[in-house]
Amino acid sequence: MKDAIAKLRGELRGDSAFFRHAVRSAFAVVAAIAAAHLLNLHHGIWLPITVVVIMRPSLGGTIRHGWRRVLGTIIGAGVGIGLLITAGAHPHVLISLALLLFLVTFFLKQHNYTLFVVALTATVVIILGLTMPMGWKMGLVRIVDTLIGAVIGLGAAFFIWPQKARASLKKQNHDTLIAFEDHLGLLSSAYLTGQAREGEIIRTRIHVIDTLTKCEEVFFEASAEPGIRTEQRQALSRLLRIFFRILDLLTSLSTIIRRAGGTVLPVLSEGTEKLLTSTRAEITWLAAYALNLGDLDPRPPRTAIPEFLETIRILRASGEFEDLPLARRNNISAFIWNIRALGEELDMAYERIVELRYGRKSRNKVF
Amino acid sequence: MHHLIRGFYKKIIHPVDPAFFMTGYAVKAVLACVVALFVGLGLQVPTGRLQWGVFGAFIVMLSRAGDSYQERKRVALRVIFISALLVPLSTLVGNTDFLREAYVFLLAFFAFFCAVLGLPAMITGLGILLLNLFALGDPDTLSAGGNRALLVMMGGVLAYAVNFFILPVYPRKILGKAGRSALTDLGDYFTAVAARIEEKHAPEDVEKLQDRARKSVRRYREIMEAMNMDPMAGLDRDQGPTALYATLVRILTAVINLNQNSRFDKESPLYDGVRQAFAAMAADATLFFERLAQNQSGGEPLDPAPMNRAVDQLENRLLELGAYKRGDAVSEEFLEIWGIVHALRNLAQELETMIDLRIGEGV
Repeated sequence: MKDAIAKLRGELRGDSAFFRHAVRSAFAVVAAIAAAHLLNLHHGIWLPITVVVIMRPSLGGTIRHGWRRVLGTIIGAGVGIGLLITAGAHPHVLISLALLLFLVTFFLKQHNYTLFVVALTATVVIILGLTMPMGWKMGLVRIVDTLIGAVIGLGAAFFIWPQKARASLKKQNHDTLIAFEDHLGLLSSAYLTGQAREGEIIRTRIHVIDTLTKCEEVFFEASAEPGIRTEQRQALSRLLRIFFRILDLLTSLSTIIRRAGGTVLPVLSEGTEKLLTSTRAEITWLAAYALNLGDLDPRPPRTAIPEFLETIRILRASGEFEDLPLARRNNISAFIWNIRALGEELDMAYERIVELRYGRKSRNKVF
Repeated sequence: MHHLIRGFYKKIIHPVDPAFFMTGYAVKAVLACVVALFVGLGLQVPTGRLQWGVFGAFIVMLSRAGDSYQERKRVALRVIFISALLVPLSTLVGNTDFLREAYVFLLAFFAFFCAVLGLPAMITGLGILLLNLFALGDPDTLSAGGNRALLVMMGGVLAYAVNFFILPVYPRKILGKAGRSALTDLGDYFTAVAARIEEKHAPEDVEKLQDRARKSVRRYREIMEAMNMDPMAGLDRDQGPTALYATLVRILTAVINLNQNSRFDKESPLYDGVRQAFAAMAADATLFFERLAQNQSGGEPLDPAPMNRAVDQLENRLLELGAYKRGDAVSEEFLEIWGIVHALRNLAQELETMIDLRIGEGV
């Protein structure tokens, strides 16, 4: 309890995102209640309810959620009105349908918000349509009230301390890349020492997935905000896909490392360490670049992979690998393939970040 | 289960909600509300006030905050208590114009500010806010508000009883279901990857199934967290829910690795030489996945020998072709196909680990 109070007090300040969101939302709810009274709306309670459910900390989040709420309400009310008009003479059928829809509502809640609202609205419209004198017209009331509520919520999101998701894109990119670097650091240490710390590896992998999921959410919210062009949305989406491919490559690397069967061969030890260190340095640099830090060193040169491949070629020609078991040789090949592919993905990530920052023709800055 | 129903379940329902967790909870919520309604009718509560009992039950079912079972019980009681306190006040304040707006502002501010304490706290806060919005929207005297509060308490207590005593949650049973569904999803993903290697599936299917398998493993973890089990603690153990979680993550890793190795030239004459052995191995592994998922609830221990033999046969067949000795180009192709054997061997080892794993032990 003490911790909770300390946390709440810690955020009770004007520059806190939580505080601003709470103030913004509270104003919107009050405005909705006032509007319902001023307009003397039938079922005016739906106005503040709409505001409560659509308000999100970021502008993009509120736009996305508001749009899905409005769309779901229009479709759901349409379904409810349709059923009331066509099957109004058979209330027991409608009650059964409403019950079924209510169960479906919970079923859909976790997976698709629009469909969830469709099912919920249809249920509410059927029940109220059967019990209220207005009948099917309750569906129209629901649509109008939801639209007004959504407009009030969006207005608050636009004008009271607007918090754009795109403002945190740089940080999300940075955090994701740093999570990749942490995970690769642990994998590198496991590969070089021949001791995979399974629990630690899974822990950092989960952290990577969590960070990436958050990054994906912010990308979607930023994409919904006004001022972002189609090509920039596409660039964001491409960068996200690259991040997911990097995650797959790291996943693949961890399997290879787990089955490496001992420490790195002494003849390859130095080159491998250099290769892994340079890949990590590249990710760290890219993370700093994504955050747009000033006074950055130039991008590290990509020389480690060609050098390592050359070493391998010389060693192979001199018959250094002849006595190695085939599985071990192929494990080394798989490692090289993956680390090379990782380098290529980092190149593409760099291109996308440059594109987002300067636009394809050095314009349309997103961050 | 009849194969038609099973097919319908696998294709339509399973991808959306594998174990009907939420639907099961919804049934419980409906039941709690219906009980509140009937008890209200039994107590001869006037029709115009019956809904307050239902609101009380609903708000308790909505508040699923808390990391542990005990914590959830405490949260539910707090929700009942806070709602019962605020509803009479909201009912009365609703009569006065400016006071109403100021009161709503404070209430809404605190409800949204609860987000500082996490999503569950915010949901609870918003639930209480909604309940009070209903009271504000229908203002009355303080004694009418008191009546509403009593009904909210009655509905809340009934929902509390339904949720925690009459139909309580059994964590390991739910985790068992989640583990089984994750294994089924991993099996489907593996089958798609194997089909991609044999060029039967478009790549989009594979990506979709990978995403589904990933989410399924993640859901298992979320269920653990919701039941106050730390998925990160004891990841190195060989029994119990955390061990199952770690193995699921490793199986996912192994299948992703196999997928990463699937981009080679399918027209290669070298691949033709092992195509049949690969198909046999893939069929064995698919079957193994299915039986493993079924076996999570007990039964005869599975024998991994046939699957391991199938990988051996594939490996031997590839080696018999002697491609790694035939110049650089063929040797490169050999390495690419060898990547698959390597990945399959990893997967077989992970599946073998899974055989003896039970979540009923450990943790």
